[in-house]
Amino acid sequence: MNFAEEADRCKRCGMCQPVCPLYQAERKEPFVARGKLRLISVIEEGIQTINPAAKTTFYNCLDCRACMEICPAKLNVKTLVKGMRQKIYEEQGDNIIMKIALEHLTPYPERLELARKSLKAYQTLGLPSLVRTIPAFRQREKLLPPVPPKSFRSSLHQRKMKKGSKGKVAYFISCTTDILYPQVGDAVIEVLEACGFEVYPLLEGTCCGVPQMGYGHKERAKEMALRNMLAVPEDIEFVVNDCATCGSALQEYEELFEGTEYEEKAKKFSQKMIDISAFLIQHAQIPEGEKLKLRVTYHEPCHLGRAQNIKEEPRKLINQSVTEFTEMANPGSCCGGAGTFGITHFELSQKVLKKKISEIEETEAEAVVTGCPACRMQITFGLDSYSKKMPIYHPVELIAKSIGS
Amino acid sequence: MDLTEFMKVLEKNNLEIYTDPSDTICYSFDAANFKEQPAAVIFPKNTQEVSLVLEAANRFQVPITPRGAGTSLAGGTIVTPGGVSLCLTRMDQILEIDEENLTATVQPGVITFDLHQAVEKKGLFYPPDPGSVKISTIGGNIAVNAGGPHCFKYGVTKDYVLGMEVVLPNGKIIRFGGKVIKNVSGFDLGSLFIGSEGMLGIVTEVTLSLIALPEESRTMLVIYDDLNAAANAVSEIVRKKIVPATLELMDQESMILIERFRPANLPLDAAASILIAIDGPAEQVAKEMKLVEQICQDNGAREVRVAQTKEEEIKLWEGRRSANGAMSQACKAMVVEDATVPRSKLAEMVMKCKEIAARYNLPCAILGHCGDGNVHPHLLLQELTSEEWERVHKAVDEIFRAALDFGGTLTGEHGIGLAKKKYMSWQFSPDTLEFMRIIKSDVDPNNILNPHIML
Repeated sequence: MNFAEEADRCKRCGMCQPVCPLYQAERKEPFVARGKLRLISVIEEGIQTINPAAKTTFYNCLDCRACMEICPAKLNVKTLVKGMRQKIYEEQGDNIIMKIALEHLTPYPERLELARKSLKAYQTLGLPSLVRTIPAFRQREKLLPPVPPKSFRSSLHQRKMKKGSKGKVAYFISCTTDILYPQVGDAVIEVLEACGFEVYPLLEGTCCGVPQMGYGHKERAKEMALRNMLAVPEDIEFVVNDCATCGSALQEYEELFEGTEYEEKAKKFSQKMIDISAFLIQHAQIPEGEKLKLRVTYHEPCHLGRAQNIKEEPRKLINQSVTEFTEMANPGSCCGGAGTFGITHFELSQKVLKKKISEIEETEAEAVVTGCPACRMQITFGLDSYSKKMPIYHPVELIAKSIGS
Repeated sequence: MDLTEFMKVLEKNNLEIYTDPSDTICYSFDAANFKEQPAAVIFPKNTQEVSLVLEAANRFQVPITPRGAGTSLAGGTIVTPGGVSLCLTRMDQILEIDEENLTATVQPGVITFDLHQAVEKKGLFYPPDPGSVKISTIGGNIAVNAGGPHCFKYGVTKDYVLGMEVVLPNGKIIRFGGKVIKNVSGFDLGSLFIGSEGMLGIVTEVTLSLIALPEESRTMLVIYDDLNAAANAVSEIVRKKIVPATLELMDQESMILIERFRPANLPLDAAASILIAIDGPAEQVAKEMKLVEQICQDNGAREVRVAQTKEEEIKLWEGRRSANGAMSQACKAMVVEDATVPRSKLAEMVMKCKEIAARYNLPCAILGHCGDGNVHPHLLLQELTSEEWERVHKAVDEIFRAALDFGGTLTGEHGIGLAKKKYMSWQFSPDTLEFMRIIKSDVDPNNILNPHIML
């Protein structure tokens, strides 16, 4: 893509302003697509360098894609912002923490398991209360949910997968399901097996590469993508995933490998990827269950609703599994979590979150449903801080509970 | 001009400012086709800060251009070269909705649509609805006396302003008007500031009058093979003393572009369609809908589509609302004008615009508010060569000449800004212009507020 040409297609109408959660929070142009596009134009023209202020601007983006949905010009804001971040990384490198996280930790599931164990120990030893005495971490520290005693991957070693009459589906294991929410992974397997499928977990796979893509580490992201692509056997028709962000990233591998020898392979890979909600509605026969007596509302993850255009399917699952489903206002607007944004841009992220929490409160729901682990962490924190604690479920967890498998 | 000293004052007072070129470049444009990077962008949080900025700007002779959401189609928010942008988006509080006096008191940065929603929750109605209603701010609406589809029946922004707080170019804060409808104490200062495009003062608070939300609103799309017949129908509706809430004209080119962009089942072979909304008490709406339908049929309508459900109504409006997006996507750049003529001349003006555009070989799609004679020809540029711009400028010259010959005006709701400055002498006599300049120089002797636009 020619960045200058793409950015110059902006007609400056401003329609991105009212839908941009960060513009709504700050009411300043560098936070919204329209301002960023002008900045990209002058950078590409060589009039302006990527100075610290420009860097700040390109990291002030949730990648929620609300601007892309409303833009009359259908501007590819996502790719432009990612491209600028890549330039920043290539020209200026990274700080040590990001370097460790992106180059040495997340690409390796076994190192993530070590990290999980350390985090578990950290929580067991009661260190969080100590860390919370540091002003900068007083609130932020609470974003980390209780770490489970066992990772999902390690639990799989003892698990015997059932044979099914409906064929084999592969399951992409997201990092967060692995180390923070193994109950989601359990639910995915239980429900798929109850539907008659044999589940093939992609143990050879790794992180989807979203953190690397988001921070401009494109080459590392490609290596990880390749590993994931190789992990899928040829005869597999579908690979289900339970994380909205992983799901959208896995479908973008084609763009990642654009113009390389792997483009075609990436395209085939992406076509096999499907979110668990969409898979269950489109390709499975879910056994009849008993509806849970529960009033829930649904937060639609940006990377599921807009990025993958999966809007109806999770709602259908909810309606099948609970007695009462109430839509909140703006279910598809970003919660402010956005991967690491909630940690790196804590204050700004909280402004976005508070709006989401008040919209949840208005529904008088007893539980929130969402299919994205980053949203789950963020909303858990938000309810805890600004409202009242309530359970959060992935749609597939509700189905698992309702069919009692 | 002493920018350095001016900036020192701001820094000393801890004002929120952008000075980094990576940030100020984001304020170098609006929705028109002009660009100028401000030396700084200031974000005042309250009236006192606005006052402080203007006092200092006046002292150090720094040109200031106020800005809201930056959706001007006339370049009204583009700074004077070397000047500073004063962005009021952070003064965005609805201070009060008074249900007893039917007023809303707001800060200038409130988004018009947010005000709509807030008052509608209470069964009240603030009718002005410019095309950018979801984006634009009340302050910007006041600066250009914004209108919108509703204005034929309900009037324009100025008809709803009851009182204001304004910071003058010397930093002094004045207040006038209030929650009273009848008020003839002193000069009507509101009229001085409304539509003054930020050249005379900065509005920092405004009290707006509200009305009751109409009980019912219904919509129909009327399709015509002949533009004159459509115009006759509008005249007949008005003659029968029916005042629809909106009378929105879309010409053939507009409908083609809308259909290509976001299909709304518009007829591609018709000369024009009018989107008519009627609101009021339910019984009266039902009666008037029938009457209007009959009038349209009697005046040669090819088809009248009455929306039977809310969903159908939304669908009809979606097409109209996506028109600007549709047009902007059919070209590399777009010039939108808003010349306005007496209602009786609307059809002639539309035909004239088409004829001029064709002569200069420019694609042109026309939208119009039939009720108030406001015509929006959209000239679509495909090449962006200087030769093409030259043709656009000549066509625009002729469009304005025609509007004035019909007894109309240069702009109905977008303002003069930078785009129409050169035509002011076409509309006004030297004495009239001189009178405007006297007002400007008396109120702003150092010429610091938006000195480069309009006059």
